[in-house]
Amino acid sequence: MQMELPTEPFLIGNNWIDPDYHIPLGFNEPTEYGVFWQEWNGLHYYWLTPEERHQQWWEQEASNHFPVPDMPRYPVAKLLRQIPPKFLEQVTANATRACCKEPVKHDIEVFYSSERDRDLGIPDIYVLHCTCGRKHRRFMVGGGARPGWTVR
Amino acid sequence: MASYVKYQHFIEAVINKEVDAFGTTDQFKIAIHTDAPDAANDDELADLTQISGVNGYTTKGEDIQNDSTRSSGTVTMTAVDVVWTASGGNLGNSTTGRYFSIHDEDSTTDILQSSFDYGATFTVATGETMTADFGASLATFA
Repeated sequence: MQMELPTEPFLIGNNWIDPDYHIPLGFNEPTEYGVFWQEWNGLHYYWLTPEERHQQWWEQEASNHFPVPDMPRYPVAKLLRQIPPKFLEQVTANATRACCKEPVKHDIEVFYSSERDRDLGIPDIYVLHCTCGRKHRRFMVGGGARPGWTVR
Repeated sequence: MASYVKYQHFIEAVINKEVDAFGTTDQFKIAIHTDAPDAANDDELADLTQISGVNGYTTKGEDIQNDSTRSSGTVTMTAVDVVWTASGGNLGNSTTGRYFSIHDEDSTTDILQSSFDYGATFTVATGETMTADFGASLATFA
């Protein structure tokens, strides 16, 4: 079962919502982000701009993780020799929007999920930021080497 | 890697043949849940609160295409990455997914093997993806 998502721009009050630009996101309770749309399956769904989506992602997730100092947000195109091909291929294969399917145009950012991982120096969260504001996360739950690079 | 936390009952389940973790005989799956795992007391999937089976998430999770091989006295379990794509709303209609757990789908009670903590709750919006990357190996048994 899925929510009916509009495909054409529409008005909510005085706000034009463009489904090609705004991102629908459900919250547990009313929020200051975006424009309220509807309640569905117990969540309050809002339309967020890419900037609002980024801010919400930062506050909910990234601010609770630990950034890898040498691996801040950086264009994928400049790291193609360092990023394992599967990181990009799996996003291309599974993302649904045209822009998301071109990860070479994304940025990548890397985190430690915990203090323990930070102390061990083993990054385990890789996030691809699409130009549309959507996030494509990779959580490393297995062993083996981690791709790394240094952004200067 | 994110810390591999073993559900304590799992080792008993291996020894008493409730679980077949060698080769590809039993199918293991990875699920997303909202409640913190209790490694000492949780032993089956029903002990966890999964995100809902909607918008790209299937209740009980996804097949990890596990395989295990032995070298000398050590058995290594490998798995294939799993990618979830949210469609038509938040993945699992959830804002509070945080933990990933692996269980034996072919055991009678869906016996839990291990869990991983993402370190924060997450919301996968429509069109976004979440990937569990198993790297070179998921686990070793020695």
